[in-house]
Amino acid sequence: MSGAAAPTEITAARVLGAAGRGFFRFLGHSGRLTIFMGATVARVFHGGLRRREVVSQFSFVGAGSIGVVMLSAIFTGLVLALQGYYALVRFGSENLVGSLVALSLTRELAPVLTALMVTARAGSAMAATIGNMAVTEQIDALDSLAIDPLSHLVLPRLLAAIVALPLLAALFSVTGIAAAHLFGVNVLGLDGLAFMSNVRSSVAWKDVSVGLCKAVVFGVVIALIATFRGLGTRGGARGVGRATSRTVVEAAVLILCGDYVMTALLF
Amino acid sequence: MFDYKRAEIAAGAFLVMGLAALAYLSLSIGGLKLRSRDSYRLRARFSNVGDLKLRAPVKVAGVTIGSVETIRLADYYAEVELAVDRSVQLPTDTIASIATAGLLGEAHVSLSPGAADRNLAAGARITRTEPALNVADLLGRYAFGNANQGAPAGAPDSGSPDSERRPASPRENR
Repeated sequence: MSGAAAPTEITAARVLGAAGRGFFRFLGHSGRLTIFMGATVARVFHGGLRRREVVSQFSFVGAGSIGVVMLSAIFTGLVLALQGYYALVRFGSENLVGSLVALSLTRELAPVLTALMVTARAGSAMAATIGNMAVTEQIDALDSLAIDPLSHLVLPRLLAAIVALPLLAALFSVTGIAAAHLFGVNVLGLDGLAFMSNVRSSVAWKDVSVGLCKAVVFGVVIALIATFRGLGTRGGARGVGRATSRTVVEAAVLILCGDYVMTALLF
Repeated sequence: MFDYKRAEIAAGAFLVMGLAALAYLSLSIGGLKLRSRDSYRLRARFSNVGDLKLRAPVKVAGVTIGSVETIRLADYYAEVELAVDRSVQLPTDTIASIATAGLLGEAHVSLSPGAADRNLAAGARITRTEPALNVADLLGRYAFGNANQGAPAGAPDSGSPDSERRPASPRENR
């Protein structure tokens, strides 16, 4: 193609070629992911609902993440209250800390941080579990027994994530606001009643509902990427490790990008 | 061996906790109203609603008794729909004005009840309205003299949709 260039030479044509190949690889990946999602959702309609798996996944993703979600929420609320106080006290507006904390949490931080925590915990676990099954040929075994991996493995995780994430995000918001309130009243000397009344007057249903919508979308992202990467794992133990770390990175990046897109569209 | 019973209980407990947080967030903090039959609608037409926004409070004597539901344009006037608590009855000669909390605060609808015998029914129109006060306009009027003005700013008008006969800018004085 580029005539007489040496194999390791970086030429413009090769750079462009690599960029083009990367772009098409990305397109192919997105397409496969979309088809994967469609196939999984289709299982809901022709009898693929496995109640026991859904419940156990829901317990794992939801109940299991409560600890990490509430811990993150407490510290996020404290930091917001502290930094907000430092910023606002210069204008004598320190009683707006309540609004600042509540709006930041419900609109952005609760859905995003919850999703990131759940990705780190449940997303990696999903990818590792399914990846391990893939490299030890258990998926092929299921296939040969005419057991559908999509409805047995993927759909329960998807449904669990869709229901668990908004609930976790709501817990995050409430815990963060409560922590900020306790901190503000006892350490910063704010008026507790003014704090809560500020929170109530500045947070509208739209803020809460858009935050919850984001959480649902993030749940879909986490479950799909984790299971997709898991099922596509090749190459033994190292492959499982690779799949797991790719899952966490891709899901996290998609969560942050998706957060921007949804904020721009919905607010 | 994997304990399914415990997973069920944990899932249930998480569901309850999550729904409770969701409910608290939506109802108490987000102000979502469950029973909308608790309020009735009133309509009012203003020549200028100023900075009035949707869900702005509707107050009588400074007490919030409702909120602004819709604001739209009708015949070059602003047609506003208010949701008022059912427990509050307003006489038919109530005056609706757009006030601000403090001089530059948030715009809200202030209702001043009159002394009529009959009350406004659901869906009725408040006929006496005053437009939003435009502070910049007021200052301009004082700066350029208001000898030919007649009624001072903010005087209530009678009957029909808000009629303002003041010229739009001070320079239109003669």
